[in-house]
Amino acid sequence: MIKTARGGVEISGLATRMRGLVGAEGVIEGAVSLLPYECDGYTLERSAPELVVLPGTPDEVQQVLRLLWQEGVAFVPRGAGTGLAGGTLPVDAPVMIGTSRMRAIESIDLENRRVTVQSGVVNISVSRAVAEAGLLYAPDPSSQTVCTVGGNIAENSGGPHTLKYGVTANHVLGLELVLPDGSVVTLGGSTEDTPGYDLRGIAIGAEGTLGIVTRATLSLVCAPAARRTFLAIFDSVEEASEVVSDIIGAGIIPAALEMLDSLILQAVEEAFSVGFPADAGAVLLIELDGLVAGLEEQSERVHALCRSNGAREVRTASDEAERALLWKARKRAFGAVGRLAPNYCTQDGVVPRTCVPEILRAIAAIAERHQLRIGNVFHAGDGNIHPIILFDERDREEVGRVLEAGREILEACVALGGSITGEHGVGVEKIAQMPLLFSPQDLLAMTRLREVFDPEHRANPHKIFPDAKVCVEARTPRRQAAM
Amino acid sequence: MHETPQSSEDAAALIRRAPRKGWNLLVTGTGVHLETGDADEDNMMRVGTAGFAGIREHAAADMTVSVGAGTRLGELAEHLDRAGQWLPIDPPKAEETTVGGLLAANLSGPLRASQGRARDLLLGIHTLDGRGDLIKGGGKVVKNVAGYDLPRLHVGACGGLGLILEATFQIRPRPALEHAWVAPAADAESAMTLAFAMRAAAEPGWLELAGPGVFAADGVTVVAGAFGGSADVESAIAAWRGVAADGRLEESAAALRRRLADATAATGSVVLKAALLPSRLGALLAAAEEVGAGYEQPPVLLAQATAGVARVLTPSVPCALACIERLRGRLEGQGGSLIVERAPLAARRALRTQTSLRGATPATIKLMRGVKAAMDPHGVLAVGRLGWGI
Repeated sequence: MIKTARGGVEISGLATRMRGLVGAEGVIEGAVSLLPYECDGYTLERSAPELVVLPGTPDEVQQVLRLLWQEGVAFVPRGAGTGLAGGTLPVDAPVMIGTSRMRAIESIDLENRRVTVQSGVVNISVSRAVAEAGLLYAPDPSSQTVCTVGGNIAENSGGPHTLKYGVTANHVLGLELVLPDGSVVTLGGSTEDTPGYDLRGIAIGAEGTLGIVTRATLSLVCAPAARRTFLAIFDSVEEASEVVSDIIGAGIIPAALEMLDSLILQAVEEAFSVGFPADAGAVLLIELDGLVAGLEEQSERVHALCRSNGAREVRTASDEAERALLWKARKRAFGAVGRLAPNYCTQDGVVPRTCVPEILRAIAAIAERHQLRIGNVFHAGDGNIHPIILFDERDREEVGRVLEAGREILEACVALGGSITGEHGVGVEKIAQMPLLFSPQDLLAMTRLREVFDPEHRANPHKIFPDAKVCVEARTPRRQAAM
Repeated sequence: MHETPQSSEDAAALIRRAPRKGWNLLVTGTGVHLETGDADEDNMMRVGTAGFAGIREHAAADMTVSVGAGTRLGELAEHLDRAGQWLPIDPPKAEETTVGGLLAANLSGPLRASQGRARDLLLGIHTLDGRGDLIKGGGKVVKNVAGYDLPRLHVGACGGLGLILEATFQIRPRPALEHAWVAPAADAESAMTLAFAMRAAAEPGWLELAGPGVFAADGVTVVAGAFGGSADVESAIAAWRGVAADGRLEESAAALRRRLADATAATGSVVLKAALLPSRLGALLAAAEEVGAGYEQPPVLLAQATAGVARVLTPSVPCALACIERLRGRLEGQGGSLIVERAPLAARRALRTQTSLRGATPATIKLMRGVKAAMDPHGVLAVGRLGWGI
């Protein structure tokens, strides 16, 4: 049973008590100051919290949650706010708890290849801290220069290199979780195997609904000895998709395998003049990594597969600078799309990788039916699509068509055996689509698990799971770029 | 007592009958891993999974496979092999291990060093919970963050959170070639130093240590495996030769790897499993050797160097007890653990009168009990098998 989220507490009184726990610098109140916290990367819905608390240490998180528990107040955890599904939107939760001040890398153990960090540490800082030793933290969401380890754990984040290296859940050995009642538990640990249930798995990807992660022990991988990066230009997405299947079918697992379609290519060309032919249908960005010896042979095979499937041109990076140049088209694609329309919104769906041509055809048909322009830039090797729907938010009727198209795309993904989200999470955005994947019993089983950790739904209430509270009708689609 | 339901409906009916009948259900595949777990199987109602065997869907180009829980890994491997693929998990007794057993007991072998374990390759799962309700988690695609990650929760849950019906895995291209470099070391500490030096020279596909009596009468042997294309394998072997010149090349590396995996589940042995930081493995193995030296038949020592896992195998209950007494406290004090991973029923009973098979009660015990109650409210699924009465 969900009880009242706010207790009977006065926010100003609560703010005073929070200052006593975390210091004045860790408490934000007042409408203007709270404005930056009214949404994350999902801007469709906005709702500022009444109070933001930024604890400076994991101990302070515990004290803050204990106080909220006593007062009967629900809370929303937040990392860097780069989420794209509204996971940090306060819904019936007046207090937001940010991890941004908890940025200590607490220990680095190069010999055992693990680090322990506080959850507010920025993703890329982990890899930077161990780069000299030839190690790296593998999950690399495109927001990695700002997003936090805690946020990555909440969303089970991926990134372009998950194709070979796996997602966050594959790289977290242990985590410290403060439960809504203020008690602290360690799930997993510093060793690979720990006796008992693997509770880590439930906390990773739980979107902050079980409590607040304050620390994590991450495993590091050896940086590849060498990389080979190619950019192959095709007349059609069908040809490019065929190459994706052929590469995987040849037993080659690239480190990354990304696709851009013609609409995106035009935008990138207009913005950055990278030299794509005006009539190019698709571009594949292929990155191989591993030992130098094997890479030469693999590179030749990938080259041959591109050529035999009609690649017009294959550009190869010969050094790190050229590699960065090839990645530029991929990484700046979202920025470039801004030139094509006043607004755009990005979807996140998954299909089996062989169904990429099918889902692209379905998306094209949906675009035509709703008279919309939709571009595609995505992780082709994983079948993780990111259709970008262009629109003008001043046109209310068009906005309605955009929302409808987004829903239809997700339905098409599920119909092809896929999922409604590959890496952005459900948040508030996709609650309505959860029943496409899960039966009422599946959802009930998940809710029962949640209540083991959070019996009163105090941690990030009304997220992920359909419940009576959430019936927010979308007004405008979000404009933010995906990764 | 033994039943083998032929459909999920039959199995659900069996689960629903269990509370009235007072059954504690032990889901059993081929039975080769019955000796794992902390419950006595002779008091349990066995539920066979032969009715849930078979490959449901092998999407070779998508590199996924959905398979019934009663399917033997040997059968699955043969099927995948025809498409040039494998599920890179190599538990002991792999041929006879079923998919359900692999997951429930969280079994793994040397390949975990580079390929991960079941939790890393599992994409989706169908189970019946303790109410007999069908619960699905995850899906069939390689990337999916919709809802809680139920599949991983069942890995290593000893069948206590659900009867596993079907699982979907991510699979990989089978490597063309696998070779190993087998290098001797004087003792456990120097073996670990050598193992890390070999890892620094070339990332191994697997990296195992074997104590006295396994390969050589004395000392500890380091075995590093490489697989992939011939150029990669040759360059790794050359790198290892550079740091361990007195080693030898093993071309039948896959067979050697299987032998190492099987050795961790030797019939009749009490198998103690220690989990710790890899850098502490040398000291742990040395301490175990010292404890075992006082016994007529010294224990067999095996370790996975990158995972930080060591196994001590002995047919002798007193020797196992002595190892637990001497090593467990130290390991737990360092954030590690020492459990009785498997042992004959009589040995488990004997050990239990003296010690806990699973070690100190975890600090998360309240959550674990809660999770158990949420998924098995009537207490009919393998109660006690996880340990600590759960």
